[in-house]
Amino acid sequence: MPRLTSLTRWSLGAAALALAGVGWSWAAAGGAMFSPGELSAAAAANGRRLGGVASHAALAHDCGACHTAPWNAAGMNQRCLECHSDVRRELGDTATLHGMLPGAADCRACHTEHRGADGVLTRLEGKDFDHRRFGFSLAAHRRTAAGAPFPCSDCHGGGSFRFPAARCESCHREDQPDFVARHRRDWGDACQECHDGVDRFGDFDHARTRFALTGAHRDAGCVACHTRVRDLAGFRAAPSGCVACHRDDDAHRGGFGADCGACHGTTDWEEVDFEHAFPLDHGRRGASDCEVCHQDAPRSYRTYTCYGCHEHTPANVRAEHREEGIRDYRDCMECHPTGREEEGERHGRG
Amino acid sequence: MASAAPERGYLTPPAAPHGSDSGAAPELVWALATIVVVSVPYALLARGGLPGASGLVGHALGVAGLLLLLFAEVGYSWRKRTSRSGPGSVQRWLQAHVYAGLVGPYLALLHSAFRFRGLAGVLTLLMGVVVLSGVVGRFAYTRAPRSRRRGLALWYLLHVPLALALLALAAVHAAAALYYATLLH
Repeated sequence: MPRLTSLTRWSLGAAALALAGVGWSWAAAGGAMFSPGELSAAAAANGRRLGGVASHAALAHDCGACHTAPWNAAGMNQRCLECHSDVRRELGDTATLHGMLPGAADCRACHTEHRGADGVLTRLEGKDFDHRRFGFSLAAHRRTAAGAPFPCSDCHGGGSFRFPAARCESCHREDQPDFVARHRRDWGDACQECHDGVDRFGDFDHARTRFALTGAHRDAGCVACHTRVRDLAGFRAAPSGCVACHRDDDAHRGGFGADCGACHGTTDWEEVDFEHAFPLDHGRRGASDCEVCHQDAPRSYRTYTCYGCHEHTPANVRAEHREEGIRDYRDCMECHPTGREEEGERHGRG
Repeated sequence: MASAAPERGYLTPPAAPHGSDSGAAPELVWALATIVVVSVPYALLARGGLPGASGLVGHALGVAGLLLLLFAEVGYSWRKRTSRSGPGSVQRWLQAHVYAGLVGPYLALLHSAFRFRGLAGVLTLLMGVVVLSGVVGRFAYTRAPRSRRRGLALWYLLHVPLALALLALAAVHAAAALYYATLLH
């Protein structure tokens, strides 16, 4: 029967010596020789001691504090929750982070250890964790501009998983300071009411919509037209008719109808592209104010009167027309379309 | 002492007929090729950070390394002590021993993710010493004149006991990994 030549007196002695070294290390430092890395020295935010220690680092030589034997019914999760009673309470409350997460009782699905004294104990990278469950996809927040993974604390400050207002701005103002400041002023701090982490409006061009922004509209804030909008459909539903926004500042009080563009452009209300059919300087005294003739203005410019000028008193006009035998002189423009006195003779009635 | 008798001792026959050995060491070529083949995907994986010892890749490397080390340790020793009619020539087994003794430790080194702490660190160090003593013994042996080969028994005294100590510690390491990491619940 062949024997293994490795099993000499010397080699057996060396192996025994090595195992004795293991035994000595065990006696001196417990399972520390098996530790794949230092434990976290991070203390609880409120300074509380849990399980009699200030941080995991104090358990460095006591593997059994967290590690249970494979045949032990109480697994590691049980050990975690024995100290972290706050998480145990959260598990039963669906309004909390751990209560919301399915399978949250499996601590190691998200949490790890032995990553050094400063090691991050929560790993939520990529597929490990579906952040969309909380209404915000991390699709656009995998890596920072510098290429490093986002730590949770970048968005969730102070050890809380609530989302503090203005947290987005603290990063996003770095590359778009003016836009972000204006955007926040316009829309407020509740970024997540509109943004779900997937949308990217960075290349948005309003000219591609059915309402290109020209003239004074270019300087208008988004909320001037898109009021109380919280989703894309809401933006698309913004009305495109002038009166939808300008009804309240319509100088004509609706008197000219809704087709503002017939006379006005988008640059300035005062710039009017309109030809007054009736010559405004027919009296050779220059242009009169609108209200001299249109006494219902600005409510309506459809009506007019010629009695606004001092010589056109009803008594004078009646007398002059009676002299000519004209009885129906109510609609002056019917006979005087350009306001000239002599026009009347061409239209004159007997 | 008759010159033929010691050849049956623990120092095995030279790998090849005298004179052609130095240029022909196919096991080294194979070992180097394997190391390159393993290193390429490892380097690709390592671009996003070195694969941790306890991950799927890390554990696979560790287990493969351990199996190769076990084979290097037990297989060759066993073959040397079997009769001449055993499977394969002793020379082939030595080549396999050298191959496994180089590739196995390389895989174990990758498994460590180049972090040397605790028992795993001691293991890596010891593994290095064992490989080094093996390399020295293997090539010093084949180059030494036959009359001086007996002096190399000293190497044997170093290489084999350290290898067995290595195996003992590796067993403890694997058991601890099973207990603390793999069988966690």
